[in-house]
Amino acid sequence: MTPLIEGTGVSRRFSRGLDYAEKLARMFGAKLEERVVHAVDDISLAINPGEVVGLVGESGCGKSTLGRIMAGILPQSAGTLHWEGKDISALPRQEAKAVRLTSQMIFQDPMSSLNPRKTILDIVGEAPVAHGMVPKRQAPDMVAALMERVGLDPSYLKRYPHQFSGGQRQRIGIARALAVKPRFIICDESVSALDVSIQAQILNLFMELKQELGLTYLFISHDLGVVKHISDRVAIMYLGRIVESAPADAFFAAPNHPYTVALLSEVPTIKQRRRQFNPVKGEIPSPLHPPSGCHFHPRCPHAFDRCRMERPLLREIAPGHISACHLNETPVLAIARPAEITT
Amino acid sequence: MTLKVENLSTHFFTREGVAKAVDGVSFEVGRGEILGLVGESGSGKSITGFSILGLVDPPGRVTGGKILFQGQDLVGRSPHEMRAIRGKRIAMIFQDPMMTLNPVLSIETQMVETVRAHDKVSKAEARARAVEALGLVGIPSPDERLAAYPHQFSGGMRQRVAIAIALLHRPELIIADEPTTALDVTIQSQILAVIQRLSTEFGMSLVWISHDLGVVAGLAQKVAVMYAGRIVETGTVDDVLDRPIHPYTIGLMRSVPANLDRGETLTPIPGMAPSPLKRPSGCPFRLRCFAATAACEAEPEAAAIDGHLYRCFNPQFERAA
Repeated sequence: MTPLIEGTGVSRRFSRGLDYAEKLARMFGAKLEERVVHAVDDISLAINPGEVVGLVGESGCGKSTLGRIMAGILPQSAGTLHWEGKDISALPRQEAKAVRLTSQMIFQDPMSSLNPRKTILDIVGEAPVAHGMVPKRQAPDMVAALMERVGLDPSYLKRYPHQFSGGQRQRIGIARALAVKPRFIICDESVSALDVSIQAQILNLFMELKQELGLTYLFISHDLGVVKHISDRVAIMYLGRIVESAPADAFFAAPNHPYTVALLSEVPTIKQRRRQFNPVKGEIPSPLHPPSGCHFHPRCPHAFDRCRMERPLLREIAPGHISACHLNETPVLAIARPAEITT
Repeated sequence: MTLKVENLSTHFFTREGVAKAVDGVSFEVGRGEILGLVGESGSGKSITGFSILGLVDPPGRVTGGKILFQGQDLVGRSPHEMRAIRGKRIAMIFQDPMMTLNPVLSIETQMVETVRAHDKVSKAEARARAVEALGLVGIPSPDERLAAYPHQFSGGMRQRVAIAIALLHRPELIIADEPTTALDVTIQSQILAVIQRLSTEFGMSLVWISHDLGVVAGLAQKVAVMYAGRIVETGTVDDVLDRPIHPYTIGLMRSVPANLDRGETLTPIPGMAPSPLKRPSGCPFRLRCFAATAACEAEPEAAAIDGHLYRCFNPQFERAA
C-alpha cells in the first residue's frame, strides 16, 4: 500500500543567529556560536490511508514540530515529504495547494486558534468559500450541516467563540478542519485541555468521523491512555527522535525501548492502588544540548558504554515493530530485561 | 482527626446571582492520611481547598459549616489568626509553581522569608532549614541551587521548590491543588514518589485535589468525588473505585481511556456540567444521568453502607464499572 503521507529523513532545526554585539565580540575572539535546536532530528514516518498514528512524547520532544511539518504549515530543514508516493516539493503549484488543503490541523486550545471577533459562520465558512469549494450564498447551509455533524446546534451559527464552552469550541475547531473536505487530520493535543467526560465525547466524535469520512489521523498527545484508545500504530519520540514505533497491540503488550517501558509503567491508572512510585531518574535534557549517543542514556537504567558513544538506529525487532536501542543487539542484556518489565 | 469538614458551604454573591460553588461538603482526613478530592472543572474542589485556608475573596464567602482542624473551628477566624496557621500548620501547593514563586527573588530569599515569617530564628539557621527542605524533595546540590531564581529551574524542579517551601514548617496538613497536572508523566511520577515518602515519614495529612482518578488511586487512601459543589460519593479508594455507587463516578471512570482495556468503547457522560449559577433543581446530575427517575427531582440525602457514602436515589450496587 502506498502511504498517504510519508516523511523520509525529516529534520527541523531552529537557530538563533548572533546579534550585532555578539558578532563583534566574536571578532575579538569570544567563543560564541549560533545556537541550534534540533527539534526534529532525521525522522522517517509513513502513515497509510485510514490509519490512526499516535505520536507520543513529553514536552519539548518535537512532536508538535513534526506534526506541523506533516501538515505542511512548517517547512522542514532537511528530508522529503511524499503525498501518495509523489514528492510534495516537486508538485506543480496547483496540485501542491490541493495537497495542503487536504491536510488539516486541530489544535489544543481552541480559544487561541479561533478568531474571537468572527462568528462561527465566518470561522468555519471562510476557507471553503475562499477556495471556491462552495458559493458564498450556500455557506450558511454548509456550515449548519457541519455543525450538526460535530454535535453543535446549527442555530448557533451567528454566535462568537466566547459564547461556547471548551468542549463546544473544540467541536468548532473540528468543524473548521472538516470544512475543506480533508483526508488527513493532524490533532495536536486536541483533547488535552478538556475535562474527562468531555474528552471522551470528543474522542468518540473523532472515531465516528474517521468511519464516516475515511479520515487518516496523526494523533499527537502526551497521554498514553488516550493514544492507546484511538491509535492503530504508536510512535514514541524523545528529544527529536523516534525511539520506538509499533502496531498499538504489539506496542502495549511488549514495549521494547527502556524509555517506553518507563513511560508505560508510570502512567497512573485506577487499577494500581497506593503503588510504590518508582520513577526514572533525572530531567528531560534541554534540546539545545542533547546528550551524546542515545539521547536517553543519562536516565536509562540499562545504559552502557556504547550508548554514550553511538546513536542507536531504529531496527525491526518484530514485524512492524521498530526500536532504537543497543540492548536489542546485546543478547545477554536483552534476556535480562523482560523480567524487569513485568515486575 | 487532623481535619474534619462539616457541611461546608462557600457561596459567591455575583451580580448574576448566587453561585453555590461549595454546597454542604463534609469529609475527614486522619493523621498521615491522603484524601483525593476528585472532580471536573467547576465542581468546587479548588474552592473547598481555598475555604480551608481562609483564602476565599469577595464576592465569595464561607456561608456555613465547620472546618475543624485538630478539633478547632477555622471558620470565622480573624485574618490575623489565619495567618499564624497558614504556612505554619497548614500549607498549600498549587498547580502552577510559577504563580506561587516570586520571579524576581532568589529561592533563598523566598525560603528564608517563609521560615522567619513564623519562627524567630537567625538567617543562617533559616538558610540551613531551607537547604534541608530542598534536599528532602530531591533537588541535587541544594546548597548551590538556593541562590538560583525560579526561571532557572525546570517545571518539575519548580514544583519541588514549591513543595520544599510548603514543608519548611513541617505542617500537619497540606492542601495540594492539582500539583502534578502540568507536568510530564515521568516528572509527575517523581513528584508523587516524593509526596508519598514525606507523608509516611512525617505523618503529614494531605488533601490531594485532582481531576485524575489514576493519580488518586496510586496515592490516596480515601477519595471524595465532587460534582456541582457537593460530594456525591466518598469512601476508601478500594471501595469507591472497585464498587462505585454513584452514576457520576461510574460515568467518570468509563470516560477515562487509560482505565479501560484497548478497544473497549468509551461511554462518555452526555451533556456538560451545569453552571453554578443555574443548577437544576433536585439532584444536579439528574439531566446527565443514565439512572435518573422522577425521584431525582428532589434532593438526595447522603446515605452510607460500611462508611461508603453516596448521594443518590438510584444507587448502582450491582453494576461493575
